[in-house]
Amino acid sequence: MRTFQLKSSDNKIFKVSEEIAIQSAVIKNFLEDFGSDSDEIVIPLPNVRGRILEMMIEWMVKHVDEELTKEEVEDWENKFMNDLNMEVTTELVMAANYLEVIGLLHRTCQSIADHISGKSPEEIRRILNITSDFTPEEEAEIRRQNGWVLNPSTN
Amino acid sequence: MVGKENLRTEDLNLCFEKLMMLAAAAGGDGIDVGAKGVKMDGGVIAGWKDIPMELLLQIISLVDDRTVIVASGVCCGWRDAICFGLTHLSLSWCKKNMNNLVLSLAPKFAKLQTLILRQDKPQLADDAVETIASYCHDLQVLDLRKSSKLSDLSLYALAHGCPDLVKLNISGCTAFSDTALAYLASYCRKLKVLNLCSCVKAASDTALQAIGQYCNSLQSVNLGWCENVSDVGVMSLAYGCRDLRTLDLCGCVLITDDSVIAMANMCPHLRSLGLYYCQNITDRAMYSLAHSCIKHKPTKWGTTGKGKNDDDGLRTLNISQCTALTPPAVQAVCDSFPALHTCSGRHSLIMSGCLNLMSVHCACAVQAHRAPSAFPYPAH
Repeated sequence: MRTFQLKSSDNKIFKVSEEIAIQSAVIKNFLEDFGSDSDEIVIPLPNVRGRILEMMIEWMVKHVDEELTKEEVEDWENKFMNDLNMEVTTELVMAANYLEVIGLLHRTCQSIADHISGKSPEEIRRILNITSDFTPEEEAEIRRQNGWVLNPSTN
Repeated sequence: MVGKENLRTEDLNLCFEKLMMLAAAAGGDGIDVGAKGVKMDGGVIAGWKDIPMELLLQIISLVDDRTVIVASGVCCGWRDAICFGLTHLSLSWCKKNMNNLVLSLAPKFAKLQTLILRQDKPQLADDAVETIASYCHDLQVLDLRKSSKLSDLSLYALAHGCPDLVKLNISGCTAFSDTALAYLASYCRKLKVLNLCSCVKAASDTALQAIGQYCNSLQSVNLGWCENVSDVGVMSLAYGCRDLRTLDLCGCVLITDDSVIAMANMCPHLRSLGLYYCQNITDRAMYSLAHSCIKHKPTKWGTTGKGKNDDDGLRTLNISQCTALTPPAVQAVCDSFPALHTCSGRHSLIMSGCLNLMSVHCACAVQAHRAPSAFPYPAH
């Protein structure tokens, strides 16, 4: 089994086996195209900081563990997701999207979707730390529109 | 050898580095068209405002339609991404301001392919449908159920603005005329599914003749309670729309055997036929259906030229309240189409109110009846 080194944006190095690394479709495609027997390949991941990469690897390790039943993996996923704050979820969803770790991408997307469901634009901006860049006219139109959407007595 | 291997690994690393940088740059080709890209600040992505468009759309696909609309008002980046990527929207939950919402949203969500606007209490007015028609040119599925305030202006607008319509539901839109429906049919020639239930005024024989002439891809038509429809109209459909699979004629009180015979002869893919309350229907219609099965059956030299598939044949037949029918004729239909069942659980030959048809049974019922005698000495 080959192993590779994954290098985070803050230059932390993680050694992982091929089996784990290829859960990222991006890494898998790369290794298929430029295969090598060397153990010395360093894969730089300039978009992912060490703390997040560590969590991703933790996720990927759990998903190749043949000793675990489907239910145990699911329980583990639930606990993993529950322990995340929004800031980390944000970084994870971006990293999972960038490296195409599909299972993690689905779970984190669902988590974000659950957080913004049924909220007003102001609440979504607060939850995800977004500043509005609309003109005052656009903002007024949005407020009018959201009155029809969000106010149960009028929609 | 060692040196060569090292060289190769270094090359590879360099190569990977380039690839990842490229991927990072491409990942930023997001929201703002002509994008700034995902901003990197010491390697960390800047934030939600500039997330890649496909990622935002993936999240948006997981929330309800209200949240989708709200999300389009979070920031310019989100608005542009959602307006560009949203293809499916339902506003059926909207009880009061559907018309205002459509007027405000249709110009933004111009890429919509599916728009569901079902109402219980009529809300939509012509200006909303005209706005849809002038912006959403990719629309394929439109549900306007119970828009009884809409006039012909809406149909004329849709004819010009949405020529790609595949599925149109205007059931309960009682104000449309047959002239406008015929006009729409001549423009929207890709229609496959058309629901005209209760469109008494629109669904005339004249309109059906136009539909049969222009909409040759139709697969499903609902003419429920369109009381003005007669054999002339249904026969035009049968001759023009040879791919018809589902036809509901329930409550079309004028139609006679000729309609059913035309369907049986011309539409080899017919799977579902609703004749509820078509009281002119007689055994002649039933025998024509039963014979159509044999006629269209593939021979060992290939099909008989009507393009019949293995899964063709009636699966649902509703002859409730067709009181003129007799048991032998209905039994012949039931025997010809093994997918028609009278047994509970798989009730697909429906004949409520036909008390004289009680003796008609599908093969399952006969087998169940015979089963005990097949094993006269069961082991105890």
